[in-house]
Amino acid sequence: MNKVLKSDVAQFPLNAIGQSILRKEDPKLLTGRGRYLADITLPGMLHAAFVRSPFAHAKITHIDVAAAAAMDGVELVWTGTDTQRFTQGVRAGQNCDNYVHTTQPAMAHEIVHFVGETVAIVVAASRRLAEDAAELIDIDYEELPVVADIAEANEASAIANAEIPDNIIHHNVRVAHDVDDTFANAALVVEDVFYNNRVSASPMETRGCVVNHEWTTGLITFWSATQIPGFLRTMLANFLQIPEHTIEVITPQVGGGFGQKAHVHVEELVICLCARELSQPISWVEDRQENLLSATHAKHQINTMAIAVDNDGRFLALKNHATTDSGAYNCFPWSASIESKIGVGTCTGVYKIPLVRGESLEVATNKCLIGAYRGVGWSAGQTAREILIDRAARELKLSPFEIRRRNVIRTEDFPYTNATDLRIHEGTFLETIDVLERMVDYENFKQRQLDARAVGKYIGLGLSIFHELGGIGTRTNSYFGNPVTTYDSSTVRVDPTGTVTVTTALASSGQGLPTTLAQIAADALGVSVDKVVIRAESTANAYGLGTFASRAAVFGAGSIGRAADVLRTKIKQIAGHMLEVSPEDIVLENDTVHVAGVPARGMSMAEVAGAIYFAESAHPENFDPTLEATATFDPADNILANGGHAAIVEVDIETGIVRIEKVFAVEDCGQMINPMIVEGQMRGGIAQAIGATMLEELVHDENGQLVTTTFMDYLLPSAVDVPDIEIEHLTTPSDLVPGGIKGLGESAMISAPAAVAGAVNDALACLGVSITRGAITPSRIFEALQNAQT
Amino acid sequence: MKRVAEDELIQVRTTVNGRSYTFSTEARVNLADALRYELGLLGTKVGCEHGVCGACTILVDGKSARACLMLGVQAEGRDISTIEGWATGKELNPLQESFRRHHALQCGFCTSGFLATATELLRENPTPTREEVRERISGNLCRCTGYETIVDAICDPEVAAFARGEQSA
Amino acid sequence: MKFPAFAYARPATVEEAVTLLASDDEARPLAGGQTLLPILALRMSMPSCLVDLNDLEELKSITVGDGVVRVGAMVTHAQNLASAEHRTHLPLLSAAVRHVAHEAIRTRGTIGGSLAHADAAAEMPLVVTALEATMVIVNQQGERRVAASDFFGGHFTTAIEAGELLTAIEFPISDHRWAFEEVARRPGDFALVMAAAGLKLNNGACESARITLGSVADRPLRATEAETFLVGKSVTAGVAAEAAQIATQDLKSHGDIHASAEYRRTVAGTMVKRALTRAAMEQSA
Repeated sequence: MNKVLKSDVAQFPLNAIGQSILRKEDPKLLTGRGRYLADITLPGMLHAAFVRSPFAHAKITHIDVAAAAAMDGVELVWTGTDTQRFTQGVRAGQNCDNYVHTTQPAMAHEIVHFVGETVAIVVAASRRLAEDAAELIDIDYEELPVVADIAEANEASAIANAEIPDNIIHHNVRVAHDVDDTFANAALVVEDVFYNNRVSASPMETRGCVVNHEWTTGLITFWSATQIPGFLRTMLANFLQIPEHTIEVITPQVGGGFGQKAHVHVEELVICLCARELSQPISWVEDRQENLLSATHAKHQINTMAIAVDNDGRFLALKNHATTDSGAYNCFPWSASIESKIGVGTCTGVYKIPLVRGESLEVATNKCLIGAYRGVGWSAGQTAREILIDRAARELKLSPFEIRRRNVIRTEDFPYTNATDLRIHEGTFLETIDVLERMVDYENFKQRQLDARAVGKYIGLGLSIFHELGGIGTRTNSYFGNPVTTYDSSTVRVDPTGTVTVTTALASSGQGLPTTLAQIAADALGVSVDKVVIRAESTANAYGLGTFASRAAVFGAGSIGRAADVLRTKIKQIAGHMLEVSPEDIVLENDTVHVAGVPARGMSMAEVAGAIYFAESAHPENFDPTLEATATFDPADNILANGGHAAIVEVDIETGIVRIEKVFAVEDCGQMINPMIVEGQMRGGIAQAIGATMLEELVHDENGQLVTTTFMDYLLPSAVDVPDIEIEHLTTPSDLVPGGIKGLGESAMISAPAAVAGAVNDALACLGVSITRGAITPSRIFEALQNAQT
Repeated sequence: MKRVAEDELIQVRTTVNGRSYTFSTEARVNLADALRYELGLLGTKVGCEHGVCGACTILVDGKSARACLMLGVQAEGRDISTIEGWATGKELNPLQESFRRHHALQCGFCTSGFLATATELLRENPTPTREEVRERISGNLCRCTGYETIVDAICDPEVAAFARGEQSA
Repeated sequence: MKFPAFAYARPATVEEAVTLLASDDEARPLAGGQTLLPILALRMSMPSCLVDLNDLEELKSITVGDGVVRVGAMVTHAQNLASAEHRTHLPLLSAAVRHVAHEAIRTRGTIGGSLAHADAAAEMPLVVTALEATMVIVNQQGERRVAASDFFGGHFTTAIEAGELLTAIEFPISDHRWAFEEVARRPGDFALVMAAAGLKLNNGACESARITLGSVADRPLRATEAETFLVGKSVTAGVAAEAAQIATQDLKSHGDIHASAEYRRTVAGTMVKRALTRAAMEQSA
């Protein structure tokens, strides 16, 4: 069975794995020598600027490009009519029942469906000239009724996109237990409607691509700031009907992605077509305004949630209805179902909740499409549930730690299949709660909270316990109702001089993969980390989907481990032959190959490799000297990482200003490859969580006009908004991944928003105030306080 | 300088990282683009082009400035310092080393801006408090690290020793 | 996001600058560029020519004399923040300029540029209003002076006419003790609301008070009724709260994506109360 083979778990001793090795890529980045997309210049390179729709929904009645095309320095002006000749655009959806697929044209050619949608492109000698020319393009629009939010979409007085009947992309009832009696008879029901604000991943480097088409050979070189080079290549071939083997996608240094760069964007199709038309390299470097307008938005959900609780604080049943404000099209490849459908699939979290009614709804609106952003799908539901749990604890006069302890899935329950049918076979949920309680010093906090109130100060504690399906592969996709096969591969080669070259499609956008994957390969072959190089920059290398969903560590370890296994066997075979011992008695460690327990009886890896490549006389009989192996990996089951967050905040009730005093984080990502990098992922995710909870919001007006189109209005957290973070680790090695590794990149964005929002709620609960709408701005806190007083 | 028409090139003489440069540019080209594309100094990054993100922060006559909010022609006669000038040969300076040791960078796109801001701060005060560091770097956005390790890196004793040395030199 | 094309001039004297501005209605002075250049990058403005003031050394100094602090229009926020003269004579300016953006903006951004832009959410317009400063404006005919109270004509509108240049701000040295309060989404951002309070006390009683509100209207507002109310009173917490109530009761503020009108009105009161309380404490200390 293919499935079993791909999930074989290589075994090797850990040496570099677990060490906080300094990053190989840092000297380059610290001296300005890293080459990002905008740093690429090619002879004769042209520059592109898009004209984007100023209306949320309108018919294009007339376009006149003559003035722009006549401008000096302008090489090409195209509209949707031109690109439509070559591609229908990006067709996206999910292969399941009742799913409405959409087609986002490369550039709108009849109707525009959101503000910021591509309408025309200018290619010119410089970006500034392209922008000058873009202003000369004269476009007439006839405005159409706008579906500006979910409420309007439901009324169905207007249709956001004619492809989507009733503005419903997908409706899914995940689980439908009969919960009514339980709710009717419960000692306590906590319930509310939670509005999760629309945000942007906002990597510091915007999107972009540079494309060169060599007409004499038909080869296309496509530099892209992407997380998914391999898959991007396949889909460029697919959407543009270009033979896949003629395309090479090269990933330069990428300045952050966080999911936003894990999509196929229509702009990429357009630039590719224009480069082919002109046979001259074209660079498109998105500006910040374009990024906020038209790079996928994220996390926009409304969750109606209720939990029935008994007198002892035990959860009896949960109801969750999650709606995504999905925008006008499905994103590719994830579809609009990447938000609420996933959220409902994980709505019970780490808790034993026997009865659940959970359904999700993806609603079309005239806004930019919703796509992936760190913790995608999980954040909104996690926030709703954890705030309700805190509320139940207050009602029942239980500590927030105790109520969770009473409900959490414990080791003795494993394997535990929860109400949404997730089989949970590992995790340290109870331990996480205990560790966080100690870190927070809860008894002390309670006293501080009371003392503070006595002098008119309001401090609060928020808590959030999570698990994460990291390393998302075929099994996890299918759990979420998306039957797609996903694996990644790596090619491992021991070079003739005994060094190791690994090629993979797991491109790094800052996660440190050139270092962590080298740590894995080093241990898998018993060599030092400086003897390994990771090459992930070209699709000329091994095929794979890429880096997203906390999967690179898992898929990297799995595929490198399996490929290295093949080489290890060969190395043992030849070394055994040369040293006249059985191959089983050979070990690979410290850059040497020797007899187990007798380091003196052996040779260096370089000597063994040299013998394999250049000395047939040393080969055993029928020895295949190929010292290169490619292997794929796809975990045999869901990989579950887990942990928790706590936050303490102080709210100034006169101004609504919130000061985040401290954040505590516990993470169990199995065996850590590089603790320094693990903690970097945790801290960075927490900062994004603070931003998404307190500061960041993409605001549209009633006409679907995006109001927050600069960093002056879309507010990212700065160094004074993020406190120092206290971290502890738990370690439950996975038995499904080499080294016991699990993924973790997304965890903080799944769970920390709940802790921060929960802390604000806890601070204000004594005033009868609850805040269920993000972003939690001073003005919204003020309004909630005013409403509570009246 | 007399009025120069919009499409006319202006010759600029400037010093960057101790080296003299002469280049010609239209008035409307910002200093970040001039450094990047006229002088080939690509280490200065452009994150927002409207002065908020701080990625393009450089030192002009020793003081921090947003390269996207200056014109290339305003480099005339200035002494500019960018990330390309901060290592000594192939040796990172102690601040750069400290950034590496403390894992104060991930994707690296914001890093040159943070180094510029920190360099200016450390020249004024080699031993700033964590609060002073946080306040000073709050004009530079980082989407990866959560800032704490950047503060750690700037407050490192080896950095303070280096900064004191620079100050007395 | 590239600047539109513009002509460029870098005059060596104020006279030259004013001549250039007078010769072209669409020309704009370029001071620190920290506000103008983002506007150009967003192509929200397309001036024909930028008249770069950065060579005008005569506009870059701070001088003290005759009970007046004269601050050149091209003095940067960083210069003002570092100025020992200001800490002695204009403590309100020293306190408020701390809230202006971030160091790398303050090193280039100038007081004159900020005032000429006249963003009601910026600190400098509030400071000149509170301190009753005089704006010195030069044109081809010579020099004219405009009181701060007459200078701001609404959002992004000032008394500076086409062909004119703001060259200096003259602050009378105040014998009040000052306090400044501001709320912003993040430190360094434009104010959601701000207030400055100045008190002159005599044996514990208020002899004179000055209260100015910012970011609540299209220009800084003096709360004269509240100022009158305070005269003769001891500024206790209760009195400060009452003055804040008077200062804001008729305020018709505006809402935007960052804060509602009601928030601005109410929190403006809080800012006044806090500023008055601190100013009173400063005095007794």
